[in-house]
Amino acid sequence: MREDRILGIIPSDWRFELTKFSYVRAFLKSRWIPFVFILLNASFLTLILYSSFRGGFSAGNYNFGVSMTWVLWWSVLMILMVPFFSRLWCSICPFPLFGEWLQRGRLITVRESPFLGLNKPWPKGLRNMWLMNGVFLSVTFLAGLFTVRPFETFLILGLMFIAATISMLVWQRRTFCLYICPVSGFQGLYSNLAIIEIRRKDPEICKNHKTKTCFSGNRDGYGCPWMITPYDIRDNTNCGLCLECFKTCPFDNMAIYLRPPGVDLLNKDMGMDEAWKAFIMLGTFFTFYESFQSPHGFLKDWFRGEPLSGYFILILVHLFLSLILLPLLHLTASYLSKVISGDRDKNLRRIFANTSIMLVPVGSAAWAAFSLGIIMPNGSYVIQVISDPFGLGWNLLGTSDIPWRPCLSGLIHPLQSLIVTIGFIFSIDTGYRISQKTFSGDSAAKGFIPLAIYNSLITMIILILITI
Amino acid sequence: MIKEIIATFLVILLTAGIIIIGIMYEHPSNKAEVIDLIARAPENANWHPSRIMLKKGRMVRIRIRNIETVTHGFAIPSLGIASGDIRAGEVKVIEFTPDKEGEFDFL
Repeated sequence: MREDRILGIIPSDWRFELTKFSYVRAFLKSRWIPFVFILLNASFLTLILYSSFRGGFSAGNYNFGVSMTWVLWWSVLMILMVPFFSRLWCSICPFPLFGEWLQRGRLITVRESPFLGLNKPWPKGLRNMWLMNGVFLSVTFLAGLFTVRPFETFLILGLMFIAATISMLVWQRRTFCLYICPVSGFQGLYSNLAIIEIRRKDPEICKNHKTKTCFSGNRDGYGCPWMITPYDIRDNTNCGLCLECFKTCPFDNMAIYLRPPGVDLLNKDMGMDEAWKAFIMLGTFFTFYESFQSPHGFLKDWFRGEPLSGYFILILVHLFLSLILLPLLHLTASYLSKVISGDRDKNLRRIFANTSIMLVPVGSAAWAAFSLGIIMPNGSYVIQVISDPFGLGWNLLGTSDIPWRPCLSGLIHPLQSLIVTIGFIFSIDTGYRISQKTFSGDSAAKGFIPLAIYNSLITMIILILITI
Repeated sequence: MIKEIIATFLVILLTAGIIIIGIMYEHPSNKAEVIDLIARAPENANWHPSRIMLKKGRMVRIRIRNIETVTHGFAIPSLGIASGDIRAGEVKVIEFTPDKEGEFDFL
């Protein structure tokens, strides 16, 4: 049988265990990890909330909170963390720190029973991405404001912190992260592209381990806060890389592996909520790119409510694109795929959901490109504001007065195009293999044609937007 | 338990501590008043903010950022303050202690 290879090059079952080095495993098993990183981030978050509350410069990027959040954090998240390192951000995210502290009554040690809170299970009907999709879309409506105004940044981050803390007092474990957080859904979906994964090593050990302490917890750690079953993780979507399973496994049977990019995409059964997440992310990219990085400056004004009628038009177009047009295009491609393949017994709904995963590599690449268009022109603001985090006129590192200077601006569009092209190649590779899994025999190649055309069309539009 | 105490101390130090430091440094007796001015072309609404209020005898630090593509200048004629040229993208800081107070015209 022919070996399955990503892009025809890397065997999809290739793995390199990073935790085979004893010092790496010892590091990850320490209860100080990832706490110390969460603590540092909590410190940064406090500084961001404080400086954005104070306002600082009225031109947003000169404010520590605005620059660190929307220039630095967002870019690092979308260019590096999500595409390569899965939910690395979730593992060090400071928002649940206080909620989890109240839940557990402990910061790093282990308490066997919950300390505070109602510990309620999340309603079954909401155990999906739909609510997160709605919350994410709602947040995007305000992006024209909070990405440039310090106080709005304070409000949105402050609300996130309050929502995380309150929901952790009502619902069990990391319900907020799993079902509510607006930045969790796309991280989950795009993390399937990542080059790292946490998986069990030997399935037999897990099979014979009746108490399943990775899920239930023990004296060394808490049961999986993300409420998945670490002994049989199949994809990265809901693994928050919190490392509790490393601590609770008495057999050291959990491992972090390096792997080829995108292998989860081939094994994942997409739900409709995840399919719509993919559409929403792509639709939001189009709206954001046109509004914030295209030559059409009036759209940026519209996004800030100037005029209000323009704002509503923009939001309606954004919703139409994300919730209706892109899904309709995908449905058409899926239907044609079913017809042309000749495999008429296949369920259209299943084809639609499963092949929507093709939008993950190109979508993630589009967002990385967009974020490159933020960090390269605006990165110098970050260098300025770190010298004066409180906006008090300090010049701690001597960088406070350096002029704004875009970085290698001539390379931005070529690099963006390159990233999107790489994403497209992965999308086509993924799509073909999904097609092979969906349709039988020769019909796979035929069934793939409409999907390839549809994906190429989406990519061409992205490239045209970037290059004009 | 000692680990938990250290962790709690660190959380309080690195969150509440930051807020306390900020508030302490914001206390008027601890710092010069800082005014951030954005220099823009007249068609882009000119200066922001458009008014400057100063207190007699209190040191002020005005940071002027020219976010336009042409050279600007800054002056408060009634106090004899002038910045010289501020080139496109540049930041200039002027510090002085006014000998009168109120709202001052600047250009």
